[in-house]
Amino acid sequence: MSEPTPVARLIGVDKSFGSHTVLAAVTLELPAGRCTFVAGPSGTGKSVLVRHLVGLLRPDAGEVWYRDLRVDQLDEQALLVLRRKCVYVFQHPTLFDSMSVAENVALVVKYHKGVKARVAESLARAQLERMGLSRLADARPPELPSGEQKLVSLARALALEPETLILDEPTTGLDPYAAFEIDAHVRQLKEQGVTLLVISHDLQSIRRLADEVVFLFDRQVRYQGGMQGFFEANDPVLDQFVHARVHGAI
Amino acid sequence: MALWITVGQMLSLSLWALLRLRLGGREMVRQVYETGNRSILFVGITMAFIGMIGVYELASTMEAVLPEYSTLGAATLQGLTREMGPIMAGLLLATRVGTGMAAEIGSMQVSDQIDAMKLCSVDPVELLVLPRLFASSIASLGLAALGTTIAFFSGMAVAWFGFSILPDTFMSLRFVVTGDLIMGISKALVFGFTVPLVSCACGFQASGGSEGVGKATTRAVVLSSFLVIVEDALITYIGEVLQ
Ligand SMILES: Nc1ncnc2c1ncn2[C@@H]1O[C@H](COP(=O)(O)OP(=O)(O)OP(=O)(O)O)[C@@H](O)[C@H]1O
Ligand SMILES: [Mg+2]
Repeated sequence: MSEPTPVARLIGVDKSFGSHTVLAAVTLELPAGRCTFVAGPSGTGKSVLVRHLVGLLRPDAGEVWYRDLRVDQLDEQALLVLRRKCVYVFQHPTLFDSMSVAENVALVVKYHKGVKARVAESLARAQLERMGLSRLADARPPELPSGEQKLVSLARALALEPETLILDEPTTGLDPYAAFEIDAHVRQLKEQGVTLLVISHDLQSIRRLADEVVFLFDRQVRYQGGMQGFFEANDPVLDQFVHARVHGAI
Repeated sequence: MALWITVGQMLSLSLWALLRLRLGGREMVRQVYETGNRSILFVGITMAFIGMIGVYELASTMEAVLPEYSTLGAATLQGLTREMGPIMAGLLLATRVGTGMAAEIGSMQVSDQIDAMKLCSVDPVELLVLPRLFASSIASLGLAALGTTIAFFSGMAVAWFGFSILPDTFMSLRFVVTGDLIMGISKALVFGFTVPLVSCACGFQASGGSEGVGKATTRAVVLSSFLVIVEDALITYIGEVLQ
């Protein structure tokens, strides 16, 4: 198999908040049509990293590319075009509380696809139906358990038919069954050729789904490569993470 | 500093929306109702007291200086129209409505909902702020007018029972000229616009969990009340210069 072209690239990205440096010279490629997992200890900046890809954060130094778009230099208007193709699902459910589930999905469809409210509503319901979530359509997000909120967030993202999907810890905090359900959706997307970037600590998910793994540690990319290599790497930090050892650098 | 940039951005966006007459449609109407409804009792009771206190003080002074009351009602009405009506509406809006907006937008900000909107191509300013801005201006005008009326009649009662001034004598429009009316209306509109503008901006600037939301709310009420008072002085000054 030939080396797939990267969809997104970070080149030498630095990011600090005040005096706290989160990313230092991070360089990363996201291969097209593959499923890349980003792992790393809590608080290493995984969420910060991916927020750069959709222009929610701008790097202090370095470049962010999505295909031939220089993301870190786009204005809000131009970012909309990017955000239609490359969709980010937040770590915590960010459904709008004052709207029903169907309205949440419809709102996004309406704005991104520029269709009438009624059309958006029926597209939204169709998307929920496809994911077996029709029974939730009229519920309010705060009433739902977190697993279902995550599924709805995923549905809202998929309603846009993205070319690249970024999932921020989609299974963290879910019971094994709900996590399995999310993984099944990820697998299906993978088969459809969607480029995936999944942030996850879940070693099982990584084993099941990852093509590539990126391991972030101490402000830098510690490992980027194939999934097998990740589990077999001869690196004490990776070894500690993979085997969940208490003692070590993490 | 970042706050004033946000205020500036929202101001230009809202003026642009105003020019295109895109005021937020049904959501705006709903907000007028909400804003007005939430404040009407508060404003009514407060203004009733303000009217009574104002007339009592004014009448006592008049009694000492010029022992006749023929201008009491007219002076009261003028003061209410130009000053007390709009400024009390503005300040009450800041405490009653501005805080709510700052808290609501602030908690959306700290829970990533605002970022989520941006990702969804939904402009949070257009969706959340514009309807509130225009709604609050309209509500402020209504509240100022209502407050002025209530204060005038409560003052009339004090004049009648406390100083034996008959309502016939009190009820006088002699002093109120078009200029006063214009001043009152423009103040009410400006205050009604300022409060949500500043409060929403404070909400957008919130960071760091529920503590951040609390700070944003405090900041919103302090800043917007302060601005209302400064703007009041400015508009009064401009009005005097123009006359
Ligand atoms: N807007 C912000 N302002 C200040 N500091 C921030 C901000 N966003 C993130 N941080 C800091 O950056 C660091 C990395 O945060 P990030 O959320 O990316 O971690 P993470 O790897 O996603 O961890 P987790 O697994 O807990 O989600 C944290 O120390 C956090 O406090
Ligand atoms: Mg995170």
